[in-house]
Amino acid sequence: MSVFSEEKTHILVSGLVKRYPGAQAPAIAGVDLAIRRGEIFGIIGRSGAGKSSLLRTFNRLELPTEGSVQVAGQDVGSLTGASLMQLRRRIGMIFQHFNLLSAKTAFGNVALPLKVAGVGRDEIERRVTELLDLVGLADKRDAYPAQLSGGQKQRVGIARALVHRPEILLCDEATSALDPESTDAILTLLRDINSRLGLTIVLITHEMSVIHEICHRVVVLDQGRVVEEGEVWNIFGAPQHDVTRALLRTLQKTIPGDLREGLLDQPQASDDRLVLDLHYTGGQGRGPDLAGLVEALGSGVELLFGGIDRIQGHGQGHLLVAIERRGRSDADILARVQSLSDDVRKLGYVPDRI
Amino acid sequence: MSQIVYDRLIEGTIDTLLMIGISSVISLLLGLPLAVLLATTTRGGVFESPWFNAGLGSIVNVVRSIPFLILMVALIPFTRALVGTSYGVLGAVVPLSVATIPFFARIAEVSLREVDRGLVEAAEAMGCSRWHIVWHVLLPEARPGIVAGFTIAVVAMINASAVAGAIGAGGLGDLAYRYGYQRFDTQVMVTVIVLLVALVMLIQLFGDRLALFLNKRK
Repeated sequence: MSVFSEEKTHILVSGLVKRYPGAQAPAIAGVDLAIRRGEIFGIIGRSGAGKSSLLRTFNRLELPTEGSVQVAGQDVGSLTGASLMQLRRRIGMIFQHFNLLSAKTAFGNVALPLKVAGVGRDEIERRVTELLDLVGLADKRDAYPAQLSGGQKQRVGIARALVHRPEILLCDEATSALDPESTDAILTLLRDINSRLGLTIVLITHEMSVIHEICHRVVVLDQGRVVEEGEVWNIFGAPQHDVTRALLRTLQKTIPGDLREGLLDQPQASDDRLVLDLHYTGGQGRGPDLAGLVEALGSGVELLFGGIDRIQGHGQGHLLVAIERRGRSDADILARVQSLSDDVRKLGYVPDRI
Repeated sequence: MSQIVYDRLIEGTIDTLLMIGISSVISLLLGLPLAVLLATTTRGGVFESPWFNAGLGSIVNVVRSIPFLILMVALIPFTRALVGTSYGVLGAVVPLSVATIPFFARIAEVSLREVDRGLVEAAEAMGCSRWHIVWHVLLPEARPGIVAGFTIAVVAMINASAVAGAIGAGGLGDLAYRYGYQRFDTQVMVTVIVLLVALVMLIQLFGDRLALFLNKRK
């Protein structure tokens, strides 16, 4: 709270605990969070980490056992009846399995939130048409959900969630049931909505790729606790917690088998080359400076494997290089490249030709 | 077949149709709200109230466990008080409705309970009240199942109406009993059976078509 001004904090979670009757461990075991207005905030964790329970306290689908959730300064836990309905109209929500009414057309589904709020027929017609247009489904207004693809269903879900012009959009594993192509399209749409309408998006996912794609900040949740929190580029560049690393592993390219098997612990010939793993976290604006590498070591540097990713303008990743030793000691070589990356690790040796 | 028998057959068919028609409307109007109450007051329902649900469920079970013939006789004073007679079409409508309401309610309850919990959650998240959820989510989503269930209930009612006929309600059941059973007139008996089979088939066909039309889940 001290870090952010009142103005910027949109959702403030303090000391939140959620216990379900009959369950041994609490689903949420003391969470503090401050989500800023206008950002795309990701909550990631394995299944059962408490993501869903946490998200559901924001619009009070779940009631906190202890602690509080404030949306724009308003304590969500204390709301009942009409004021709770008012709050929920300011918070849109989309779901993994879309949760569209099968008996209503795309138009009918998007119109429902307005209908129950007592909005007039002409206004409904105008708003729903506008929203279906925004999500690119103007031609599907009379189609039933069963006639739509997964991606199209989620678009209807998004249109329905936005029809009250909410200030917050909650996404509960919104792309987990979609194929990769539809996932990309939906994430692009969400990013677009975030920048065009300026609304705060909170999404939960178990896929790091989703966080990578659209989030600004992220928390990693494990067993109901926040184990890591920060800017996305930072978490990707320098993960601190085991759970974060495990979740990130699915995205990282591992060293190819032939290279790994060819690695020697000790040099066997004098022209065997030293293999280093240069790690770039994206901090301090330091990128992979290839010219600098050659300058520090002379020629005879071969890039074996690696890749650099760019997240929020920060280049990060690993480069595996084979360096001709030319009589220099490993310590000498390491000292020369030390300042060129954020972390250098010696992997072993490879023969002259590999 | 004599002219008299022929006239009686027409009269009986009309009486049976009247009995079924009126009882069906009453059963729908009272059975559906009862089904909504049963489905929504269970644990996890939108009007959660386990004790109320247990009480209401018991009443429904008691009525449903009494065989129709006995229920009809037991209801005679009630029927008289309500419609002034325990004979004829009106006299049959009361016990037929009383027997069908809980039967239909239980079938409709199953359809209502089967509505995906996620849809209710989505409705809550969009700012629906509990009545909105019943009206805009539960009833429309369960509609194909409710229609199919109502068809079953009406067919069961045709069965019961024949029993009712035997103890003074008139209609096709009365005819079959008097001519077929008491006078060994097989021709009347067979005609009544053919008429009843035709009636059941028509209702079933119509109900199936309507349920299919309403089901947008395919």
